Amino acid sequence: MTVGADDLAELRTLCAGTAPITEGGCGFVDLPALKIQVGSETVVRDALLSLQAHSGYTSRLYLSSPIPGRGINWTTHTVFGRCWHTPSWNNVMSGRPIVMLQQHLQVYR
Amino acid sequence: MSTEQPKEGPEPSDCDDGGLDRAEEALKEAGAELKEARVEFDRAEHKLEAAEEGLEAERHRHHGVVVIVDRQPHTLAAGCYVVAEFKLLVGVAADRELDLLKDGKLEPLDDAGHIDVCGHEVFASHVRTGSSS
Repeated sequence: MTVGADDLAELRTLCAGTAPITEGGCGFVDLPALKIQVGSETVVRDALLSLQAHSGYTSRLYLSSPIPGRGINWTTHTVFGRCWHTPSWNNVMSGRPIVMLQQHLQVYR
Repeated sequence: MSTEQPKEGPEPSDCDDGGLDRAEEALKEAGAELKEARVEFDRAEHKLEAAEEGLEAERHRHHGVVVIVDRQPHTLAAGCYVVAEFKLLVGVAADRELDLLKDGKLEPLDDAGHIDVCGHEVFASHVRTGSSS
């Protein structure tokens, strides 16, 4: 799956450094220093959004470190040679990247 | 026979003193009136400015402003909306969740909450999916 210019422009309103990247034929969106709303607070994490099924899930949002008190069954994965963290959060289907991101972020709200 | 010519009118000195006093008095009064008029003018000018500002604010409130929802522009009146009503106005299904893209983050909006629309806001909606396993 590829990311269109409109998709990137939309994501860049949230994260200026947004960039599409691929590994092993899988498309990702790199989201450095993504602001994530956690309850009434905002935390910042580097994030990596897989645009299709990855590691047994329909999609994944990998974070540079876990968010305490949110999500369950956190696991670690190596992607692009970097260790990433993600909770168990499934059934986010491929679609407009910002919508996929919204669905992933629900687990932290 | 006298050669002295009869004087016409009052002595020049009497005439000058009285006229000058009256002229000075009139000048003072005119000065005071001018001062009052200036104060009144300034007051009126401020009122006019305030009225113009109020008019502009009202025009802005009643005229449409543009917001972006799911990449589509929508025109609606600026003001405070209940989120559920706002969703209806901009064609977002009730079962979808609406986020405001603000300050570089996605801010979820509660259906029962309120939102102040001023124009240029950007929103994105999504279905409520995702589950832990």
